[in-house]
Amino acid sequence: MRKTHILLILIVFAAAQTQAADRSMFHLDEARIQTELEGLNQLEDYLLTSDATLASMTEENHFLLSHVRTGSANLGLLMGLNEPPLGISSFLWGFCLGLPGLAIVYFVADDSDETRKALWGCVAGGLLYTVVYVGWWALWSTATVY
Amino acid sequence: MKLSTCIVLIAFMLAGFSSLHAQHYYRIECDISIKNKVAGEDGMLVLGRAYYDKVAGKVVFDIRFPEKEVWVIEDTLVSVYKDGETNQTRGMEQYTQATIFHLILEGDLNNFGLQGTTYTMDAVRRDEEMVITTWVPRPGNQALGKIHTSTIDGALHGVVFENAAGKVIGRQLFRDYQTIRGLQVPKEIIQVFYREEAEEYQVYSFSNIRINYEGNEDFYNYRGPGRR
Repeated sequence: MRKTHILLILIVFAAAQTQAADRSMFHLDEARIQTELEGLNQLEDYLLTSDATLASMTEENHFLLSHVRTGSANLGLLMGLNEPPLGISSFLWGFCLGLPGLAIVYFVADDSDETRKALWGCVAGGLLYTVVYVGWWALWSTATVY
Repeated sequence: MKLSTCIVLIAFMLAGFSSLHAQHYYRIECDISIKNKVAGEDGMLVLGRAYYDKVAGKVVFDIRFPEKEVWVIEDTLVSVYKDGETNQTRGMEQYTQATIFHLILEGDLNNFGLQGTTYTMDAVRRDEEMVITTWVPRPGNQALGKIHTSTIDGALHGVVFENAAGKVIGRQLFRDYQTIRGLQVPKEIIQVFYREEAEEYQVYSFSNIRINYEGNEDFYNYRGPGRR
């Protein structure tokens, strides 16, 4: 009897899980998205009806560029190309693996910003290693003297 | 002729017809606009024209804004041509065959290209006019979460991505379908990713869509600036 109750509860939970995949899952707050994208929509409309370029708009300090990130790396960002290797922070690559980590980021990410982060990680890791090594050496020397 | 031989012959004919039909659509090009914005931050806009040829296996973006560049995605490599030189070539995770252009030409957009991948169909249910399919990763892919796809009148309407813990991490909506030479092509894709810090929005718009256009060979099989 008790087993039957447990089974019934499990079935109800399973049904509830299945019920979760309904049309409401595919709802987006489009009004909010359009509000966020309003500036970009205005910029797009302007560009589609003119021969303006980024250079010409920058030169005239156009107000439509005020909330827009520009630069040739944009498409790379959109496609996730500037992700660090394996999604692990470039700083950590340099910090944990030192020069090999720096090399991995340099060759895999092929991105100067990520390589710079790995370099800082490499420097920080090297400094920490030096501090720990010197500290350990000092302690060992002290212990040896006495 | 024996019945079995006859059946085999018919099967081969059908397979041949199916193959021919699948190869019928081999090219697509369109104007493309990509808008990206993390809530509360400055956004990004990319405008250009995209070209995809199934045989050449390249997706080529002729970008006019923000910078005049040509992006070529071939297999897993991306090359960027600017001012007559290759600026960068780097690997990317998304294969050419996984692009929306390939899915449209192959007629696989309705299942989001998930059929025959590391995902397998788990459940199908109807909610009013919407048919919802839940896809689960095959065993051995514990890091992946479920994907739910929905279709309306056979056309992909939405995709919901979950992480392995069952939390929704992203949604995509495919809208404003246009029938071009018998192919259903969405003119807009809206996607939202739910990041820990903020929501990220991305909208793709496609216009002036051409299927199987015989022209623009230099873009369909782009070999670099000035090379034919």
